Amino acid sequence: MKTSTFIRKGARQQTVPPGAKPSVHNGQLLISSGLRDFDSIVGGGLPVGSLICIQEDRHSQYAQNFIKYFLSEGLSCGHSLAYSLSPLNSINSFLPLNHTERLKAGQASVEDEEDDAESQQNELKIAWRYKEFVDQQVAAKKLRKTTTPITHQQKGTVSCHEYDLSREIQPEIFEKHKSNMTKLQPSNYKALLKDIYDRVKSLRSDASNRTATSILRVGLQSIGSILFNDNSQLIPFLYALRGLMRSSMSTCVFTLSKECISIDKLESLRHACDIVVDMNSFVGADIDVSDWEFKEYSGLLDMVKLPRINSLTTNFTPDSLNYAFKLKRRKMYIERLNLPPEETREASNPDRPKYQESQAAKAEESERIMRDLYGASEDQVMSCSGGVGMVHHHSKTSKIQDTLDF
Amino acid sequence: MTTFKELNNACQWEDDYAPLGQLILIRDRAPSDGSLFIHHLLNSYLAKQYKKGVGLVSLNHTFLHYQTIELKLNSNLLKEGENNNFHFVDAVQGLTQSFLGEEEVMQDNTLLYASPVNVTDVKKPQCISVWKPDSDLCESLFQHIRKHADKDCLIIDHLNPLLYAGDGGVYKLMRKLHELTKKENVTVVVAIHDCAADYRSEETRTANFIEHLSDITFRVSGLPSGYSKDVHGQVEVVYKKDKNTFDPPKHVKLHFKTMDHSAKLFAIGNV
Repeated sequence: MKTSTFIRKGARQQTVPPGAKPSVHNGQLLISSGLRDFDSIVGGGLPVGSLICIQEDRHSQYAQNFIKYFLSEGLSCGHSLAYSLSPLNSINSFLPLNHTERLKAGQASVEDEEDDAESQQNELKIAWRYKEFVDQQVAAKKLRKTTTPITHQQKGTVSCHEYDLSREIQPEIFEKHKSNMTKLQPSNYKALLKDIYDRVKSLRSDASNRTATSILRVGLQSIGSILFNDNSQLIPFLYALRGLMRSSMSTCVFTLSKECISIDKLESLRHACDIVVDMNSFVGADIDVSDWEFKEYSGLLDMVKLPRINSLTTNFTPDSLNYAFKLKRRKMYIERLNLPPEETREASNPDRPKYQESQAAKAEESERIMRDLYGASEDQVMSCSGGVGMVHHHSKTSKIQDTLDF
Repeated sequence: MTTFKELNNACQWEDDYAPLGQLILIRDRAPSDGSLFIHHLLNSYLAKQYKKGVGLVSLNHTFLHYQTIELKLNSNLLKEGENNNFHFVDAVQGLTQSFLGEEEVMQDNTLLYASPVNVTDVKKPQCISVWKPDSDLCESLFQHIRKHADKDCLIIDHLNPLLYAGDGGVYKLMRKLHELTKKENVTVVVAIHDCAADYRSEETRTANFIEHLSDITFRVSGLPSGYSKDVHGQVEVVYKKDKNTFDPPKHVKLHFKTMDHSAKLFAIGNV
């Protein structure tokens, strides 16, 4: 598509810091979260001056990836970073490998290609006739990767880099940007805010110069956990932090240990944030999803709150607020949660073994209920559950019928 | 304002309805947001051109946020400020200052009233004052309002950060504001986020307390059926006609949809 180079005479030149882009919806300055799927579901990117809360999954296994992506993207764009990680994490092992830089440098490894080839072979056991077509597609994909590293750009979404979660960041990139990173060592919320404030203050003089480092990314891991000894100060801290973000070119992403916080407090602190994401992983939830429609996913992701900065409504109106995420070997994916049509579901299809199993389980459960409630003999129970005629004889058994119907 | 004509019609209000001497409460529950009613009232009172104008106390957003939205709703806060019809109290920085215990926190930052895209060559508008809190948050805020934003209509968006001030400061502040409505014929609009999960929470108790005092209440909530792309929430307007009679308060329930430049309110089931 041709783009016009016309510039109105006397129009004010807008200087946008690197790694940022004004929103097409309301002109709000956006930066990337580092995860393209997430950028697109929050309206193109994270607004500068906002506070983003990621409610952790049970083991904080997946939520921490948001911080990884967020900080890494900041590093790639030359932004300043301030971070507070859990004591077990060190920053250089925490940040993932910058795959885009790797491709740019022509270091796309042999093992990557081997992986691709292997996966193709696995996929083409049945549809072998399409091998040529797939080969063409793979070749085109490789070509795109070499020419334009950032692919699949959605309209209005801030561009971002690709990362490989399975590997650590390249040492040369880490060393290059080391001076832009500040470790926050909080003992309590007040000290934490003070550290962030000092960092903001030191960058404030750069703000008018429009250098890359004038944008500050703050990443805080596991806020609200028992490592912070004064959780009564959590909500005032968040309001104060939001005020600080608003008055500076900063964006803060923090993960919240929701297991440590009561429900009413959780709802209160959502008001203090601009974007709230709730993550629930299947791991540790005592749920076996191997037979479910969600079996390919690692967990569910709900958009609890969307940003409303400089706008009466949210940046855009999504079709759904329910998403699912999955973690493949290198990357995290977020997809819209789509259930298959009702009739195709396993549970409602009588031809499928699962349906028969569920019916048997239902009958067994009803027998158990009747035994527990009325101490009925096994014969009576069988006749009650088998036919309706007998049930109508007694008021006692009509109650049982209700239970069964339910 | 024609945007909210449906609301005015449903409540049998005039098109330019902007009463004085009222306490108006906007209580919203997640996932819905009552900010559109703040803008509706702000717009209505600005359009009415009362002698002293409107004061907006923000504990939620910067001036830029309100200015951007009001421009879309055909109202310019900067111009209104120049005409002494509007005053903005920035209390967001005060919260940070209070928590840190610092003397001054980003008081003159251009980002408080200018877009990050255009921060250069922007002068601080005269209609903005920054609240500097002392040990008693609510009392110092009230004093600041009296000093800088002595207007016919006072809008507070929103009250929640002050709930953690302790010593029942919010209740004292509300009592004082209520007195203003009666003694000085000032309209006070207060927004508060309610907590649906626990009726014993501080938010809900405070919201109930203010609702008891208020003349008009907007209860904003999400749809009971969940998220919808076409209907963003519902509002229940409760207004007490005359407190001297025993008439029960009137309830009107409407659905709404917010768009970038406007909002649409409509009867339930009438998308």
